[in-house]
Amino acid sequence: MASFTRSIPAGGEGTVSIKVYTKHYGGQHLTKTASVYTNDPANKIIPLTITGQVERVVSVMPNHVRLSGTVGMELKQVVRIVPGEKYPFAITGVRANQGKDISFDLEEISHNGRPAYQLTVTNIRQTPGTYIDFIYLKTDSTINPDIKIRVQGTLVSPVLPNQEPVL
Amino acid sequence: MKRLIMLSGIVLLLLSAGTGAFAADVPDAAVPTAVIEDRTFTFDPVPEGTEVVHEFTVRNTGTAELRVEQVKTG
Repeated sequence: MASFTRSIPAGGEGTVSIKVYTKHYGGQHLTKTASVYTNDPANKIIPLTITGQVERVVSVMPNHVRLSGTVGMELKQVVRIVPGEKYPFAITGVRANQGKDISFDLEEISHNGRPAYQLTVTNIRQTPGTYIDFIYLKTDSTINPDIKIRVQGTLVSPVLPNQEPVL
Repeated sequence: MKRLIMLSGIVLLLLSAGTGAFAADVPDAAVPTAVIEDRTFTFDPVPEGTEVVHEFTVRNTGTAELRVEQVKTG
């Protein structure tokens, strides 16, 4: 995103302000470019660059949950939440957006000698169909106060002889 | 004949000198000149989710108004 001084008198000065969002760039070196278009015949387009390292605040592995299988089957998935080395935090709350198809359990673990969390998400739906829900983790981090985890479920009927599975 | 050639040469010399003097008296059309000295900004490491904002300074060292028509970010 950019804002800029539109008119600069001869001998004058103005600014071009560039804003860069670093969400989803954790652990990466970010480089963003901008092109400034002017009426200077010798500098019609001036390239600008903003670059720098973005540090990871948290690792969520995997960052979404898929629970697929047959009705009656035990379907669960474990998600590890590891705070970034320089940005430790504690999880202070956990809730599901709807919660009618899933249950969850959060426990503290140690990951490479550092405090981390393990979230186990379990399907509780007993009918065929699909659903999408979200689990929200509240943290005491001012940088990353909320973590959102998507949960997708797909359940099919048990296959009987000479019968196609029913969604 | 030699005199005629010499005379023509002198006339041409004077004419070209006159033209040169005339051209020097006409000022160049006013043009803007955009100067951005530091075109790359490197920020210190930041945690993910931070908004990084930087203001680049644009100077107009020309003789006419400088217009920034648009800024495209990519």
